[in-house]
Amino acid sequence: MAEVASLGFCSRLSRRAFLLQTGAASCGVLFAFHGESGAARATVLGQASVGVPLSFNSWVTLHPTGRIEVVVPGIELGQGSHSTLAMFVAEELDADWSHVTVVAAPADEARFGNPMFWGLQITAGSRTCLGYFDVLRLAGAQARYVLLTAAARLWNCPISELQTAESFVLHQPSARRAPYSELIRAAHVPEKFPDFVAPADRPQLPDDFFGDPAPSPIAPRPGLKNAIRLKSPNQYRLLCRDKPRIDIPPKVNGNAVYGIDIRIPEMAHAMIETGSVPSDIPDTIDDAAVRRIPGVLEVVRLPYGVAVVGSDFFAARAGRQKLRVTWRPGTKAHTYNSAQTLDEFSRIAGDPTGNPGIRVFQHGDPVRGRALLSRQEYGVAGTEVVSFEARSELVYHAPLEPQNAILLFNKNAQSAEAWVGTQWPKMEQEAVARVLGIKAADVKINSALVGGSFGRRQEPGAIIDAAHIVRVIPRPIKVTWTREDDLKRNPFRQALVCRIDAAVDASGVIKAIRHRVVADSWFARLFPDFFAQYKQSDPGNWVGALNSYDIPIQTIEAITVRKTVDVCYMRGIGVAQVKFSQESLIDQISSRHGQDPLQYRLRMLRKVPRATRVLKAVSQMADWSRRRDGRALGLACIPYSNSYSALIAEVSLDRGTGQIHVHHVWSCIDAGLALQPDIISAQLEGGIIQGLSIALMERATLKDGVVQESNFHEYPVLRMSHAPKIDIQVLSTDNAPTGIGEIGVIQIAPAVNNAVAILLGTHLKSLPMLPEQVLRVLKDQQRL
Amino acid sequence: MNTFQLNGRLVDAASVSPDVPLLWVIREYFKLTGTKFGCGRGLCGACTVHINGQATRSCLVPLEAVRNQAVTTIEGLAGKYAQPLQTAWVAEQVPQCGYCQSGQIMQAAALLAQTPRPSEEQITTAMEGNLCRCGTYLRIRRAIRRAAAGE
Repeated sequence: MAEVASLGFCSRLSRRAFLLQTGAASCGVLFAFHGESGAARATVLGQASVGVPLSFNSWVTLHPTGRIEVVVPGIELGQGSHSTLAMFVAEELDADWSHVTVVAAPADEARFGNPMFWGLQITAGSRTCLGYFDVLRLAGAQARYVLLTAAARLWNCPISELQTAESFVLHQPSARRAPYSELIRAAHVPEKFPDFVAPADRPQLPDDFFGDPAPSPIAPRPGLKNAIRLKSPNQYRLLCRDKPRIDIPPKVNGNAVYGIDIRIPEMAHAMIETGSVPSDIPDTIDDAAVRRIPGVLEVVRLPYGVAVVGSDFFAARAGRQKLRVTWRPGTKAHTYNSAQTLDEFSRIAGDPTGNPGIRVFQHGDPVRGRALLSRQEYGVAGTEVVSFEARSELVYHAPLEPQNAILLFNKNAQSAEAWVGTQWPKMEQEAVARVLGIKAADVKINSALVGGSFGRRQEPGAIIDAAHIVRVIPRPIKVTWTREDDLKRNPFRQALVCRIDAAVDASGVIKAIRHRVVADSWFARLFPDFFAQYKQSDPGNWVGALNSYDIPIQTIEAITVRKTVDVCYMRGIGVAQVKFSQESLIDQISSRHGQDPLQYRLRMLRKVPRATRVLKAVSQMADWSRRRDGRALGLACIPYSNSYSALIAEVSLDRGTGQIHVHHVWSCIDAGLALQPDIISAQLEGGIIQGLSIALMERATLKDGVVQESNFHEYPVLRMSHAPKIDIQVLSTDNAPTGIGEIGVIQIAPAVNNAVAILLGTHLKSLPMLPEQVLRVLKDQQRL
Repeated sequence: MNTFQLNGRLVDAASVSPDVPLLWVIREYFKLTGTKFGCGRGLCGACTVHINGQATRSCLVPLEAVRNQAVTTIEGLAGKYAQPLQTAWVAEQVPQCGYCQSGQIMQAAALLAQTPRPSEEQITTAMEGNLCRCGTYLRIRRAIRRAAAGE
């Protein structure tokens, strides 16, 4: 009775659930359904007409129904990439936006890699929209060209007399018009397309992390007299105005299918037990009680854990609860302690002679800089040395969807297929290939919708467990981590110490500055080649030390200390931690010299008009000069990914509990050409709240390698009651589009600290800014 | 017999152990995946459903506790505030990753059913248990206001 009731029920309630359940779920079906309401959107086109679809290039396919399918290479993390990337195509194609559907790109870096991200097919680094802007506009323009050519041939008229709008080609002299779909049969995709050019484009600027941009295929350049012109921004119909995101409707009615929701036929479920230190090796395994549970298929020893595999989720879950395992250390992670690590980093940061590190950046005369920054020089050169050092604890990415993966291994064909939410499909391919001893190219990745990532899904998680299991169990395996697994096994945002010394003259002008950044490195662990390219350093740790302030001598020294607990970039990489020190220092200097922090920044940034513009705008938004009773305003100005942003936070302090309260936040961003203003605003709002959460309350504390926090009661994440009001102003300027995904996270912590410094008389020196820190400062002040 | 009402239909999860949390019964037995697993300990609200109209963390409720009770998931959400909330959620472009939003909407629907015109404080109190890692709280608040105002 139960089976019948549940099956019938599901088929009526949810077509998606029914399809998945009955095994109709080839990955194509899966994607059609989670593919951002693709099927639903396409129904507006009515009955299918006969004919075959026409692919113009790797990116765009026109179906006989008129549906235009765009391959989107960046995953949808909630940043609207699927909508915006598809819109690049639709804009140049003059497509009816309601006819456009998206399909996730397969793992194929040669075709779908991000030209602005070293050709990698990775969704990270605030690079997705700006990286694919040119290639996808070109793809749309090529498709339009094919359709125009077809119409010109059919109607025997020159292309110059044709126009396009809303998926139609129009010939006004003869009052003829044809929908794109009718032109498929007459269309011919050339072997080689003519040249295209976007004459109004401003070039992408070099980036601190990525260096010079790759050449654009549509950049104005000599010898392009006959090139076909792309639109200029003032001709845009879709871009630069707010369009609802296409991934949102299925996210409000439960229909969006995330990785954790996917089922495939014959799938078995696994849960993974690991030691209190997740690299521990299972010693003895007592699984007698586990095997008595109906539905438990197998208990599998992994190199670092034990998998309980059940024919359904219930069996796997119940089995894991009965499992008894003893462990022995598998790595030296047991030696890791959070407090000792930061003490060690701090000692190194303060010892430039004993541990000079790698000098990754030098501007101006280093000898003169050393002299100015040596304390003997105090008074002699009319400068004093002001120092600021802050430490940042390990942080858990905490995506709300725990890690999970489905993996199917075809032993005979030596191939595999996976369903997994990932920012970087190739990493998943390689991880599976390594465990199974097959070729990475023979691992097919179906990129699933993700419930948050923030950097976590740049490297594989649950899929490695699945790979070990499918070696011994000939069934597709779905691995689901619990929250406790996810926290314990997370590669954390790096703990980091940033020490800055600045030689400041009598008028408060900084004559020389040296940043020393000490941290472990994601690059050093996983990408030794990249690490080597940056002079054996991790740019994620130190690029935040680059700044826009007018300082004649600047030095950055990076010290990588390899530790025994894994770290991984998080949204804001190391820039968030370094800017915390840097922007705090700027306020410390301006206040020592009795100068207004806003005026001080305007003076030090006078050669950077994009920065001064956002500073002035945000000061107006916040009414900067108005005093607030019991509250203070803190300011930060952040250049990142060629965006310029300034933020003001209105803060109060509970002197009894030490709790910092942030009441209101204003931020203004110059995002270059603002392609989707409301999405930029949403990214800033969300980033500010996430950044505030990290700044005020988040740390993963390790003692003897064991994470002390297990779930959200011990690892708090900011809730609605602590979310401040936020006002965002997005400036669209005639610069190339810039990166906006991370800057919100970066700018909030230093602004809050600068406000706290006014209320408390001193800056706080570590992240998170916990109440106990505030209370310690207050207690020290009473003692004096 | 583990019979209860799920989205208005009488169902029976006969083969499931009565101590299994309702969340997993909904997701794994009835295959309604709009209700999300976030923490398993009632800390994040991603698994919020209605039991007899009350917003409840389904990860904390054993199957046996809902015998003969009425359970509503996001897929079955109906009533006066369902459509206005979902429309408001789209109008305000609330979700980012979206994973928590089923739970947020279920929580908001229960709030409006009880308090059709909630104050700011009442919104905060009601929504405090629902985490959003993407930080969409301000838009959630705006969407609730919009739905309450019948816009």
